[in-house]
Amino acid sequence: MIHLHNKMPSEGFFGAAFTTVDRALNWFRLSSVWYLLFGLACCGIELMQTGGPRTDIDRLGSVPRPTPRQADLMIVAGTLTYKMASRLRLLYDQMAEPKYVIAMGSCANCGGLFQLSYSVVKGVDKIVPVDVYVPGCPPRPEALTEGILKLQEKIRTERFLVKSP
Amino acid sequence: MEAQGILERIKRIIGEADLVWIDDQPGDPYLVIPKEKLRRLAIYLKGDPHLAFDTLMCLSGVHNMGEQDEVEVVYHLYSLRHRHRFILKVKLDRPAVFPHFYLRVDSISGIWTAAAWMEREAYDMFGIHFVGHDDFRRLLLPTDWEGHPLQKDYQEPDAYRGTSTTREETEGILAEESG
Repeated sequence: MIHLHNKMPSEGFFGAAFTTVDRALNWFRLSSVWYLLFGLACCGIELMQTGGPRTDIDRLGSVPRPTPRQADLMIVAGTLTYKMASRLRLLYDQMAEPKYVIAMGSCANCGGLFQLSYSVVKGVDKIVPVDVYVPGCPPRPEALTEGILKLQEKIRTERFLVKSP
Repeated sequence: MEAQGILERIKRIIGEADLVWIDDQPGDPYLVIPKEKLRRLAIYLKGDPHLAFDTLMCLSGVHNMGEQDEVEVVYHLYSLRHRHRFILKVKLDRPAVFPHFYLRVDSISGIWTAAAWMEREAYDMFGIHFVGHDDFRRLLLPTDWEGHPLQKDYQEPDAYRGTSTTREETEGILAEESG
């Protein structure tokens, strides 16, 4: 919680905020979750729409980055094959800590429609740790936005400086 | 030229022996030829001005595992000059022991360049070896992949590079639905 004080008794109006460093850091980080473009299949189209003018997750501070080195979040949008899995892991390893992963769509969650296929990874959590699973085939932009809001809730409660409350 | 006319012309050049003409089945009629004649026939089909099959539309594999275990290679040919088409098939026996040793056919990638990738794909999926191909390796699957997944008796391994190929939560559901 951030306490805003706009009015001081003697000085008239000026702004001041009191909080802990952890909370401030979390606030900054959750307001700028830059995501790595990782469209693998039809979910990638919905991912583009989510960044587009209607849903516009830019207003939540999330902007697409074409390079893993500038990204905090990897949205795995689509069907992951075994051939692509090593590339996914490579890009994930190149991201700077702290980093998060959203598994978008049924294919990324568990293999989805292609569960009986020989070449499809049955869930990206077999390759990288996943923070938020977004169901749908493909999920609508609203669903992905909800996923990012869920991730923001998660970031809000994290602690870096003071480990115990 | 109609398919029948093309067939007559083919018979005139490589003889009638061992040719099987199938036209009583649904779909386009096709000609089954022995694999030894494929290369010679391919050169003729492309070079003959009356046939002029300048385009290989599709090269695909089929695995039949009925009474006889055999793998087919299907060639769909088209002539842009004469606007006619023709379908060739080569059948390869697939014995139980060392099947990969018998799945061999001449490459036609030197005649139709389009065949280069399609032959690699057919090898990838069915394990058919195309002899005389310039750059023969897998096309779609990773290079360390074992087996050829479109063969009917392909068994999916338990793991690939340490990643298990099943998911615990869905195993029961999948077994119910398929059983």
